[in-house]
Amino acid sequence: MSIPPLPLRDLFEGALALAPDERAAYLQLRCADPQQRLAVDRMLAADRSEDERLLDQPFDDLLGRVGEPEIEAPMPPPGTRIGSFTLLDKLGEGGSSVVFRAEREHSGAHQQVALKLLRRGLYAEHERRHFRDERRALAQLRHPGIAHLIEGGVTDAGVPYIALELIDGLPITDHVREHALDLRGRLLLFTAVCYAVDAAHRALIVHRDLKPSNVLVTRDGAVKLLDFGIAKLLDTDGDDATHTHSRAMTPAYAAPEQFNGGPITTATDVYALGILLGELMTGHRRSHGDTRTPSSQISLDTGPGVLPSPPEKTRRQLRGDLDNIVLTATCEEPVRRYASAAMLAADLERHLANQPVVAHPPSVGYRTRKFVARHRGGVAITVAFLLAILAALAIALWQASVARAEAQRSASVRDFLLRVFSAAEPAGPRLAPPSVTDVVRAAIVDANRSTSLDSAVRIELLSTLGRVLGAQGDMDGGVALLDANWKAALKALGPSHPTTSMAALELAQAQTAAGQHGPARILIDALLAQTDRSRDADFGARVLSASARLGVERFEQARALDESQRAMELCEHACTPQTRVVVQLTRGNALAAFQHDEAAIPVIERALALQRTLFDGPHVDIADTLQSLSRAHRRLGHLDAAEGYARESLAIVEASVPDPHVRRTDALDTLRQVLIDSRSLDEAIALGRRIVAMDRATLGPDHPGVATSENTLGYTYAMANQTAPAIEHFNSAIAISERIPDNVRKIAIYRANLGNVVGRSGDSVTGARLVQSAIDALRGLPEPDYGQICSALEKLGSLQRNGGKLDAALATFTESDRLYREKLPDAPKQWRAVTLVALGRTHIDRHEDSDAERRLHEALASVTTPAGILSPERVEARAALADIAHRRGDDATARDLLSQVDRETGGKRPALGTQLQTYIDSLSAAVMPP
Amino acid sequence: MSDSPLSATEKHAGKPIESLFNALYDQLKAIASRQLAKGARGTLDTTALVHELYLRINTSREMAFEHPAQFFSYAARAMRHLLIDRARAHMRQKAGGDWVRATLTSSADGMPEIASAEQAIALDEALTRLAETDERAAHVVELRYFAGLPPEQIAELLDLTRRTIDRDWRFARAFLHAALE
Repeated sequence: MSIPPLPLRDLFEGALALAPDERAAYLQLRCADPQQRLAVDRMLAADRSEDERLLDQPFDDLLGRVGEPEIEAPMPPPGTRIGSFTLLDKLGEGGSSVVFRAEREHSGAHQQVALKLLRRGLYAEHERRHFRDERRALAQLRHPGIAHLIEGGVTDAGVPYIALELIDGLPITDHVREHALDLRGRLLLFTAVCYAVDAAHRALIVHRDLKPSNVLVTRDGAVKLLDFGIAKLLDTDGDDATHTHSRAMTPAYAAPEQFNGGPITTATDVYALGILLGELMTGHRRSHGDTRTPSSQISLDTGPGVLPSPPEKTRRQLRGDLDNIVLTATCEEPVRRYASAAMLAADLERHLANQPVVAHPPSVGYRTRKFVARHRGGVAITVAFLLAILAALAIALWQASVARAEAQRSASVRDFLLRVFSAAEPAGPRLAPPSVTDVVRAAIVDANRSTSLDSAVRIELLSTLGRVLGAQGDMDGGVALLDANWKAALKALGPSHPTTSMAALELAQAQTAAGQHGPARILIDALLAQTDRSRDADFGARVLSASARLGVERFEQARALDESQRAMELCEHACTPQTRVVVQLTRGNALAAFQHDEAAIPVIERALALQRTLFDGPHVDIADTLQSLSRAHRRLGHLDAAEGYARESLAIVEASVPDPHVRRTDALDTLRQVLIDSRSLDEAIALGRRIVAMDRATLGPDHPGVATSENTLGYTYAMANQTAPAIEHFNSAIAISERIPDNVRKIAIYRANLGNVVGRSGDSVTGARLVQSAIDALRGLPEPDYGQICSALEKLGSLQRNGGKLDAALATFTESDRLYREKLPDAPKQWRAVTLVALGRTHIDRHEDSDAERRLHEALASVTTPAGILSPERVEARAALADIAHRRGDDATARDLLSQVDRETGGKRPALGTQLQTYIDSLSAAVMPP
Repeated sequence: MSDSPLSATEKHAGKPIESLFNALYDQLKAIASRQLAKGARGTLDTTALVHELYLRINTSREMAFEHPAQFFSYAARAMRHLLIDRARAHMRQKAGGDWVRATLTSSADGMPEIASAEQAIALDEALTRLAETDERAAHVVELRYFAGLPPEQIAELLDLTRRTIDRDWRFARAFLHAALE
């Protein structure tokens, strides 16, 4: 159309401005082109029309009506080559895929496979990555009862495909009918299904879509499970960790959590198995929320072959144990189902052997449910953990009998147990563990008492339990347990047994976490000497990492950096992904601890990426890593990035652990530090209050940690110039600390903070007295903490200077400077900058401009913050130099310095604090414009 | 599909606009298909879609948008793309060009998908013509109709008065409805 642009709109709006009956005349006059006249008339008609037209309806309507095309990527017809396969005939078609029989030449023979072509194209790189990762995990799953994944990929046209072992068999429900299997035969067949499922679970793969058509029985009567993990593979939205639910499922067999978006765990498969078991025994598929017993649902007119025996007899056979087993497996709440498919199978075997089963009769279940309802939270998780521990013990027993003392195998016990614990964690706040430690303690007693446990397996289990104890905050309990466990290992297995070494490493790590650095160092050095000779790279890398982490705690810089680097090199080829994560995090945190944040960030980011592939959804370990990243970015002044990571971490933690919980405190604290740096003080104060409350709840009222968080809150209030609450919280920190023995140092630090804020609020005499008493106390310590002494001297000196006592201030700052040089030669250079700037400004006050200039230039030289990131010391030093220049009449230099200050502060003046800001503003006003 | 430039978005210095848009579009398609798969056909909530997209982009850091206006312009453009891609796919299926047979199901109000697809394509073409006549009015349509933004927010994003946005909309609406008759 060639309508000149402006006139059309002008004509339209011009006509609209007139009464309807005047419009025709107006257009007659102004619009000569008949085609254009037509266009305007039609627009006016459209404008007048009262009908709801396309643009008045939501866009969703139109998009919805158009719908999603069946297929995005065109799919090749039979005969085409897909990867190394040639498509033959179509075997079947499902909602999300089409299955072909396909073949290829393989090692000189024709290999036939079932080739699945997905209907849905993979649009984005992250989807393809997810597909590849899943496929790799599945390819490693090898079990005689599971159809093997042979190959998978994405065609050039973007169509994802997977080649599976081609199984010639019948769905299990058809098989039992066709062979008219009796109850025993059916149960034995079903236990084989359970064990195959369990094998996949131990490889950390959940089926998600178990149903008869995926459970085949071959002509030889062997069970073969199809499509293991394929549902997850199809759920390509892998980057979105919060969406744990799957689209690909079959409603009749799907567990409640698959409908309501709960986490998909092994319990999801247990549910489907329960439904399947019921169907095999009664010919009737249980519906959702059905709490009736399977035996009561057998109808008398069921067709021949469907039931294992005539209806009346089947009812009798099922009543009791088998009813309870199905009800337990299909419990609404995942935590109340069997904790593993193997436990379900074991219960069936107990029934077949006429032993009592674990499944509760409904009356007990009813009472339990009532009890759980009354004590939601505490009990649910206790049940979950008890079941988890029972499962772990059951597997441990099985392991012990099948494969004695084989390090590889027992590692899987440990991993499974850890998995169970960590899988329970993200289940959401309601299911969270206030009494995990109690449950773990009970498990410890169990493990110690159990006579059937192989000693190596027992030691592995106890090591894991000790670690869980520590992770729940009971550091000392963890150390005590691991210490006893290590000694037991020495006695039972000898010092060179791998399990003993592992127990020693666990102990050393727990000691490190509990602050027992001396014993930890001895143990780790011994382990290092031992692993030098061993060829187990994975374990060696873990020991090196543990040593490096201890080095960080003990400020052994060279050692920490060297060992973390060596662990990385060792890990290059040989490590498991789990170890790799540990090693990378250790390296990143060691770099960060010694001010190499820039180098640390990419290393931690790699660990994060790896963790995201290891964990099925958000996980507290990921939250920890995000916190490391946040801290590193914050120290570099990348406050936006730091805030993003901190908030992501907090979101994960809040979704994963109950309130209150130490993990939440850590996440809140990380965010708070960012907010303090970016001077978002209102939110920082709000977070500080939450942290204090949470610390009181998790640590108890008289814990050093509560004092620390009260102190930080006071400090934040002080920054926000809210003197009264600042004083209140410093006082509270002091009061708590005074109730804790041997706490002189902390009391002194808090008192110095209190004195500082009291002094600045106007009462400089009291303030100075408080700070002075803090300094005296710090000096009186057996090992004086000079860093804190200097910091307190700086506060004292500022109060003195503000009070006009310039001689005293000069003496105080000079003393602080001396201590920095003599006692803290290894401290970061920048620490001293605060003292040097204060010295410079005191000299200015005393009209000793040349001394002042010398000190201020020294201060500038000791600032290591890179240009472009705000350093208050650098800003203040430049402002003070501008002051001097102005005083000697050199306004050009002063202007130059002040413009540097402006550049550095940018829009962030408030980040400087009121005093400094006022100083700069008054200087800017005083310096004459050119 | 029009390629008319969005002046507000061209200043972006970092990533090439093309790749930024493609990345955004990939994300959008992924979210949209998941939404569609979750619910019944045709119950796509585009406002939620844009919000989810915004959250993702904002947290991904891979895609940097200098200004919310830039994001919403892109999101609206991506929505428009999504609609047209789907409509075209339906048209191709109608023509029998694809491997899988088309399923011409009827949607709730009885309007066959193909008719809607034709309407969508007509709308897109009319919008392209509108952009030739009045680029800003076309942009307002994108933000209001495709991205679901309320007029107040559009005014704020484009730094114009609410009255201007209302005038643009009235003109654009009449133009497009007249073109779709």
